[in-house]
Amino acid sequence: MSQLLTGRVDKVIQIVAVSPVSWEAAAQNAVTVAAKSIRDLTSASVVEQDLSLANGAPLYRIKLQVAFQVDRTRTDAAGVAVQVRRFLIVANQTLANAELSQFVSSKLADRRAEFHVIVPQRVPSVLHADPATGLIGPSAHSMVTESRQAAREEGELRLASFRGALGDMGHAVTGEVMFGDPATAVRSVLSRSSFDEIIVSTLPVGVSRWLKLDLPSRLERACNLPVTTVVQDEPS
Amino acid sequence: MDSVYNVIELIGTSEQSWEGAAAAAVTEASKTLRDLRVAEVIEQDLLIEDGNVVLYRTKIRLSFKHESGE
Repeated sequence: MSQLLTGRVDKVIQIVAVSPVSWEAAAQNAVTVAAKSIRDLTSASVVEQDLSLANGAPLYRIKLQVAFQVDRTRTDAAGVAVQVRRFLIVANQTLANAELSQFVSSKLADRRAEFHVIVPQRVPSVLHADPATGLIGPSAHSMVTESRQAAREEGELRLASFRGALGDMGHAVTGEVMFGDPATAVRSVLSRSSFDEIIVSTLPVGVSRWLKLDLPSRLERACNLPVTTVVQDEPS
Repeated sequence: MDSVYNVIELIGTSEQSWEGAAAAAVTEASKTLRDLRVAEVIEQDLLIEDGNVVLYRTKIRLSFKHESGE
């Protein structure tokens, strides 16, 4: 009833997270991830808790439910209610280009837009199992873990310099590094947050792997949102 | 002899854990109630500020023997 009166609509999602320490630590992990893309997260309720044993060591698992506002009403500097448009940017190498940061800062200047950036990184090369045992060796595991870590750091660095290029407005932009197929990454973000438009920032045709994969039209079909493709050269 | 039990619900809070929140509720209840038997956790949630968990809340259901006063 109160929703009808105020016109406010909330989106409700569930998140599962684990911790080897405690359910509290697992809950904090879930909240940390969710807070990257959801504004004004103020509470979460516990839906389910369980415990799995991996080689005798307990792993605490928790399922949380969070609710957040989907409406686009914000208050501007003068205290007037304004409607914002939410953009989801998919960018990796072109994050460093001036065109993208200029576009974002022009939209941010009048506080009518909000941005979340996802930096998709490729999952390190597929593991090959030992043909004799069918098992994946521990050395292969640690190599993948290391290259994943390196890819994450590279992505975080690009994100940080993108925010840096926006100056004071940089902290108004949220972002995260994600692994795997960019379309899957976008769908996963859309399942826990809502946006009005997707911007794919990529290298020119011929160089761009995403354009070769036809990412923009795949996103348009899969997400039912307008997709703008920004083609940029690599920064010289 | 037949028995009757009262059942009440309490919410405890803690900055550390849900266990702490449940213990806070039981401790408070035991100040005024005798023969506390079972506390059942019926709901847990948490409050978030700036992406961090700041408060754990546990709702418990407590039962204790009803005393008619006779």
